[in-house]
Amino acid sequence: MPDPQTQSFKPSFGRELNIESIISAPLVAASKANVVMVTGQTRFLLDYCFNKEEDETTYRPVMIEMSLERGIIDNTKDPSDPDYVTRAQLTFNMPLLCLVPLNSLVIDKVTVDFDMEITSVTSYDSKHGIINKQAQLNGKISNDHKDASNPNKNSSQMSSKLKVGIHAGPLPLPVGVLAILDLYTKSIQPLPSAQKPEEDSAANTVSP
Amino acid sequence: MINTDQTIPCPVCQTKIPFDTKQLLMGIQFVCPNCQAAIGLAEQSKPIVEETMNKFDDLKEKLSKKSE
Repeated sequence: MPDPQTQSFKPSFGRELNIESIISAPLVAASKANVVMVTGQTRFLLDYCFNKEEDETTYRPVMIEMSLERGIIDNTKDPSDPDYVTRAQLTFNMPLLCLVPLNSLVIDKVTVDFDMEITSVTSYDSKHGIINKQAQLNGKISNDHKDASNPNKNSSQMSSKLKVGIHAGPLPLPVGVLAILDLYTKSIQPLPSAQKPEEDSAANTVSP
Repeated sequence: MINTDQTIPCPVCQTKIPFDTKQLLMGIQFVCPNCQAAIGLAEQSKPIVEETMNKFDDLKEKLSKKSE
């Protein structure tokens, strides 16, 4: 199998190619596209959603301020009173990371469709497994692919085809990012306020 | 269109509130379906969120050009 780092894939349909090269080239291309997308997103997160500390190893998330508005019922007033329900406004901080729509697309399915005309079969020694020899199929991408839409079409007019289908789906967030989001989700939960000392002592007093 | 994947937990009752960052930037508030608390982006945080979203759009455009 050719090394994708060093060997380029130049499809020459008239030339003999091994079957691994034909299948692996579109897969390598899809894999590279995924790496480009994920690397770009990670770099973006570190550059814009975190501030680097002076020690150059710690990243502190950039925080933003959000407002929260809700109705408060004043039970001391009559429900017909216009001030029975008042709007209370408060602010809370959350990481900027939570607002960036990180669920980007990623290639999750690649289909490679081609007809191959086997021209030679060779074998090579297998280094792994129980089989001593493994077959190596070589051939050309066939150009006599039947055209279902036009069965009368002369096959010589058809060109050799390697059809690659790509399906992109949403990328699940990495575990690390989910952990950060979960931490901050928990940190914005309200806590019961500490009771005042007078109230504490009053609560502990047992009335006769 | 609201990206339903983006949610924020309601600070009052923890119900997930779906939101859209671009609409938050326009000053729209999103209401908790359970307790009716409304969350919005504070005025002083708009510039930083706007800048980040612009950079994110640039990145997406750059990546789509790269993968073509």
